[in-house]
Amino acid sequence: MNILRGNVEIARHYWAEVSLRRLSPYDRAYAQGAAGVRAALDAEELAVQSAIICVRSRRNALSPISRLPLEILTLVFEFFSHLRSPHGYFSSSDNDRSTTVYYPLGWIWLSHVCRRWREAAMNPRLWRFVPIELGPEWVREGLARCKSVPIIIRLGVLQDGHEAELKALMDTHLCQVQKIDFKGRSASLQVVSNALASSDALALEELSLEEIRKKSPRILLKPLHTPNLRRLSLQDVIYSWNSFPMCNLSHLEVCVDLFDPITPVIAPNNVAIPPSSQLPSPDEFFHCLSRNTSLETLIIKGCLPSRLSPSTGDHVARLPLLKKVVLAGPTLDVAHAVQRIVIPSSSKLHLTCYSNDESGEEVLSIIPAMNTHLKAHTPHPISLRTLSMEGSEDRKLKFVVWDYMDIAKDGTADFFPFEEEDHEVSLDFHWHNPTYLNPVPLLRKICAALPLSDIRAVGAFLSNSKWTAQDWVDMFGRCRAIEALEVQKADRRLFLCEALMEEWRPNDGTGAPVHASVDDGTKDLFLPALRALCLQDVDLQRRYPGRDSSGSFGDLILSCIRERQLRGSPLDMLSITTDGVVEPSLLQSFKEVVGIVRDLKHTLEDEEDDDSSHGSD
Amino acid sequence: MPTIVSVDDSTVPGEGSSRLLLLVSSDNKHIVVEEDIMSRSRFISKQVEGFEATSQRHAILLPFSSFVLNKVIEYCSHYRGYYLLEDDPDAAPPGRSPVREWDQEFLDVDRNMLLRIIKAAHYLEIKSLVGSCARAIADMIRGKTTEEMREILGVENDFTPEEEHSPSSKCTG
Repeated sequence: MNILRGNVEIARHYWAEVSLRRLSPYDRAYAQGAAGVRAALDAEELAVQSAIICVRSRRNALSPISRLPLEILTLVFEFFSHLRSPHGYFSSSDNDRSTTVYYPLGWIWLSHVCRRWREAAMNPRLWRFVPIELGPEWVREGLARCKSVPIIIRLGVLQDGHEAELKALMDTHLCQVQKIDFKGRSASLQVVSNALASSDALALEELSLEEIRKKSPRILLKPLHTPNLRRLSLQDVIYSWNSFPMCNLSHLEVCVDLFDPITPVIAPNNVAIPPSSQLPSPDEFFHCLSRNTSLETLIIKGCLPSRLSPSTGDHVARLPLLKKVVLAGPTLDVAHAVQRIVIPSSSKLHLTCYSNDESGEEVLSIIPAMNTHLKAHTPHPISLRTLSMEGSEDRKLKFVVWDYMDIAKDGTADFFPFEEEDHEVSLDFHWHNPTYLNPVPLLRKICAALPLSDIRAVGAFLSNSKWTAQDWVDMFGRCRAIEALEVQKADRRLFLCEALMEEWRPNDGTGAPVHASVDDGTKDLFLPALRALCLQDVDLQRRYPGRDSSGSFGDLILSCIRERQLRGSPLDMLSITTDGVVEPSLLQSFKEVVGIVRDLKHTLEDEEDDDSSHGSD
Repeated sequence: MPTIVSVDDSTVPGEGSSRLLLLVSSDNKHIVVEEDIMSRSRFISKQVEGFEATSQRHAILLPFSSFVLNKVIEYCSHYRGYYLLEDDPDAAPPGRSPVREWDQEFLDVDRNMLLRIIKAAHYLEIKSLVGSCARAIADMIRGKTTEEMREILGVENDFTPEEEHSPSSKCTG
């Protein structure tokens, strides 16, 4: 029998008949009292509702989402739990909604959708993030639901103030805690510190603590009993390097806010620790590193040992597995540290130096270590890399060497990788002196000292810096392999046009070209291998009254590119960003001489708009 | 277990270094694909190991349509030769990392198609694709109320009043 055939009528008849047969006896029962009948009918209603639920569950089972295996649904919830963790604040919703939605329970709302979703949401893996921020009832429930799965304590800035729940949890379940990721006030951090000091946290593999109230006294973390700890990250929390017990860490990160004058640290006995004692001595620091030969990531900011502190010797830490090193502090302390850590050549190296010395002499103390690292760098030699420089008026200079991208080929120019992860080697300099710093003289010294002769791409973002043709020659005159160049405000640096277009004349007899400007030294400006050019923030209509060649900067660039094309050194890609107007005829001319023209899209769109408006007229 | 039918060698070309596989979809479409492309699928890899043990060539019958199968092949072709951490059997549980840009475009399909792809990826044991689809579904329901989720995904509230309101279920939300 086909159950679907004529089903609507059959169902209607069936349920009508059943309900009549079932309910009609109540018609004769009023004599026994209305209240009793009402209660009986309520029970009937509940039973009918249960039957309806059965129908709904069966219908739900037919929906595509319900036909996914339960483990997949749990996986979806797991991703969702990262997007919406339980918390108590308003969260603006995403993309397609302009309203604001209140999510007090975060991902736990998913368990309200239907029975199957609730079943998926009961997976212990989802409850390993104990919802401390929701209060003690939830902590108990969460712990019951996660069963024996290792638990993770994650509390962010907005969920601070749950010391009681935190203490109860740490006291009873510390042996089950696998990871602590905690940002909070010193009172909360103290709870964690006390708990970790009082008993063994055998399952703890990752510990990340950050104090958020930087003005209050920093806490001194008590000695840890964490034999299986592999990752330790402390932000504005001080740990006594002298009693540093860890020996198998793969990740060590200790950062103190560099711009904040060192605030007092209160030891457990309420005695203030003087600022000088907060920094490790060279012996403590390098011996600690030597005990952690499995380190893959080392990040130390603001608490490097002072090179001036007494030291029993020049102990060197050998860390063969390092993949990333980040050191930040006073320039000479950074130089001192980088000399006493043997860093594998394949490791990424990021150095941030703070200085008052504008002569650059202190900075140059970093260069020998950089030089060694760059020369030995694997898997690519320096010749396959890009150099990016960024200088700004707020007394910072960034100098990055990173993986070369095939900019000339596909036009996807990105001269300054945003993510630090993409940087192979970087040097950041910060000067305390509030006067304006022109970074170019310093850059000249650094570039001259580094093995840059085979560098392939250069990005120079030195917006307000004054630099001359001689600066350029000193920095990149020997870099004949540069294929791609990005320069900011190039319209103010006309020597770059000379770098693009050198006059050639046929050599008598041999036919080989020679440089016309051999004698005046500007031959070193020419970039013979250039294939991609990016000009940022330029005014293409800028004019130069004093020059022989009339016309705008745009015209000058065009003639340079044409000249290169004639000489057999054409550009494959030109990218220009400008706030000004681009003449359509100039744009067309660029397109005629360069394969790919980028970042002039707004002009093209404007053109199209104009065309369409004319058409509609 | 999938149904495996014997095929003669003329059906499956490609003896030697670049071996080809014959995949048969539920709508009976025969799709030939390089074994190397499908090596991301643990299910297919296990099937191929089975073929080697019996030294017989087979077609692999799969319980989803050619449309879905072609999408999965597109994904595997794109990441051919790439190591994806998520495919590692020892990979850590999913974190907060966003969906890869290419995956985002690849999975910009209608809801039902997305669910079919994740089911197929689960069947074929392609962890990275399962993960990307799961993230895409999570993104899809992000910012929605329970009512909206029900509406989007075609499910109804099937809780009894007790389940919805009893004190014991309070902590389910």
